[in-house]
Amino acid sequence: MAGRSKLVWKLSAVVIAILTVAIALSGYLNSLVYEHHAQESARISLRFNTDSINKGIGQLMMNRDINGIQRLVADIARNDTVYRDLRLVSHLEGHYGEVVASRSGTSNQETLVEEDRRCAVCHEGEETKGAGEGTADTGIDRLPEGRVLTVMAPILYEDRCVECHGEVGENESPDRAILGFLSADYSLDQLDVLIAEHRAKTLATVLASLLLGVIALRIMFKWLLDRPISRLIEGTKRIAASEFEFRFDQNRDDEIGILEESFNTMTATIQANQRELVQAQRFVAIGQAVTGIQHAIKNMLGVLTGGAYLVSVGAAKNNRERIEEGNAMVEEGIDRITAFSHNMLNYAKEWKPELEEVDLNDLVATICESNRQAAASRGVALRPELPDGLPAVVCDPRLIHMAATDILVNAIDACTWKDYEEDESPEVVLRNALDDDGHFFILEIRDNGSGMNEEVRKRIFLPFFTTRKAQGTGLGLALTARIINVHGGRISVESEPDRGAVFRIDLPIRGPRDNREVRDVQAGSHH
Amino acid sequence: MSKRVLIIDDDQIIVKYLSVALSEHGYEPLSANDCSGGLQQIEETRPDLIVLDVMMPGKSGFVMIKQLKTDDRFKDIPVLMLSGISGVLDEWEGHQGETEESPYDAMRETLKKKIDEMREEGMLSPEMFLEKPIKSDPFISKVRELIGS
Repeated sequence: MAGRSKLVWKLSAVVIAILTVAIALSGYLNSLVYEHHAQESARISLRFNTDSINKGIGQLMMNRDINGIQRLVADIARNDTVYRDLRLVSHLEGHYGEVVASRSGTSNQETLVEEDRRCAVCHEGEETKGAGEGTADTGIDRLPEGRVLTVMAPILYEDRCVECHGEVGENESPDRAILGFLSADYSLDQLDVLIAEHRAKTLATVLASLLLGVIALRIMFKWLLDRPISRLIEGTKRIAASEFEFRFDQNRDDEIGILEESFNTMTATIQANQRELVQAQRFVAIGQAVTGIQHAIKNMLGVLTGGAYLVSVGAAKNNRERIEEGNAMVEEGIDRITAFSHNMLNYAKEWKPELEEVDLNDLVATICESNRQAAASRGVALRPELPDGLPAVVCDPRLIHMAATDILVNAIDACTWKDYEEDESPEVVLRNALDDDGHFFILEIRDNGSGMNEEVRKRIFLPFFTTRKAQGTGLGLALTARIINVHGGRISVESEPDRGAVFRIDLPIRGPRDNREVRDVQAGSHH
Repeated sequence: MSKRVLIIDDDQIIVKYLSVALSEHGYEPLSANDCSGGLQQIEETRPDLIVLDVMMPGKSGFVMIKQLKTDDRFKDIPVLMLSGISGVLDEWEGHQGETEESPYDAMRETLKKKIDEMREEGMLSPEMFLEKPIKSDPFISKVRELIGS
């Protein structure tokens, strides 16, 4: 996955999850606390407010001003945005629940029943609370119109009340300690609006923090992890692709820096080993070449020895013919040495292909024509199989011509070394094709000649390897292999003794990627 | 009558050289360039000695020997093998071969194996080998050793 670090994404996901939970949680708790406190404040101040109204009512009661009380209550209750409801309710025996004063001004004959929710504020089940303490109590209910804080503020019996309302007996129920109560339903709308606003703000803050957090996280991870890890991966990929000169810049002092340092050390070691290996391979190759050359020299030495012998015999016996034969041999030996030396130089030089688009059908056809006569004179038929529609190949036509001709000549020779049965006749088939992927052009040269055993087949492309003494320096196929190599292609051979051989050349249609020779110290490509 | 010696080698020069050496020493040289030509000669003229090169294009000398030694008509004809690969006989002669890495060295191992095999089957013996480059004197001595003058 280019450019993306799975590790960093996993890490980011975990951190973001934790961050989200933490921020959301704190936002939520913050909201809860605020709401609770806001509500408590409201409760306290509304209680106080109700008590204050009670004091006013108490004063008016002393003045026996019932009308005044009713007007006061109606007046206050008119502010219906604050007061959902306001009523003065009697708690006198015989008059439980009678509404004495309310919004409408006069008593409206309404009576609260025991099941009323307002009674429940103090009369919860069996228990009755708060009576003697003189404190108002509250409850919060959700009514269809909105939330409501109900304050039940009792008007307690005091000494000054006795004059009109009589005594409260000692054995009387605690109920009797209450003359009545002020029941106020405060609308919590404003509070709820505040709460809603607060929640919205909290949510916005949470989201904003999360967003900032995530962005900051991504940037931080990108900077601290993504980029260095990507660089590390890029670097190691290059090293894995055998780019052993590559080194990491050493400008970090953290664990990744340590990794980079280790990689640099490792790569330097590989590079050094590589050089040693290449050196060693070169020595081996030189050793092989030397042995091969020695082999060829022995052969040529044989020729000169023979020539010298014949000359000496001829001289001793005064046989002119012998002397001339001997001389001819010596000259042959000189020719062989000259040709060998020339071939060696030819082989060893740098072969840089001059690339152009080549129709290989034409090229192979030309080679067939040039060699047809010579082959026929040795009893060998040439058969080209060159299908239409094959693409042109980017290559050096002269070099490919050389390579293909060399193989063809070998194939023809192989045919002359075999004893053919009645039903078979010497033939070399030259076939062109395209490989399945369409990237490589295939040249195949197949003969039904003497073939090679495995020992020979394995070594056929090695320089100086030959089974022939008179002709051949052993460099022909080695050079062919080099030429194919330089084109970025492959060459291979299959063969069995007496069953002929198939040489196959694969050439990349688009030519070599670079004109460098594949770093293969031995001339053979793939065997 | 001179003893007939058949030389089978793809190298004309070697053939010429050895032929001259043989005639100088009273033998009658015959020659062929490859195994099938050689077989033909053997059938026609029945030589007293066959000189055979190990490495030739097409059939190698060993294949020829197998053919000869399994043919009742010819298995008694002595054979002299010319080897272009040095060190094949080292073990027999008690030398330590030098270990250079070359395609020929690996072939040497194979050759040795083949030789051992054929030895087991009674087809070969050390005196049948001569290493190149061939010098006329050792060659003639060897021939004499095998079939007399």
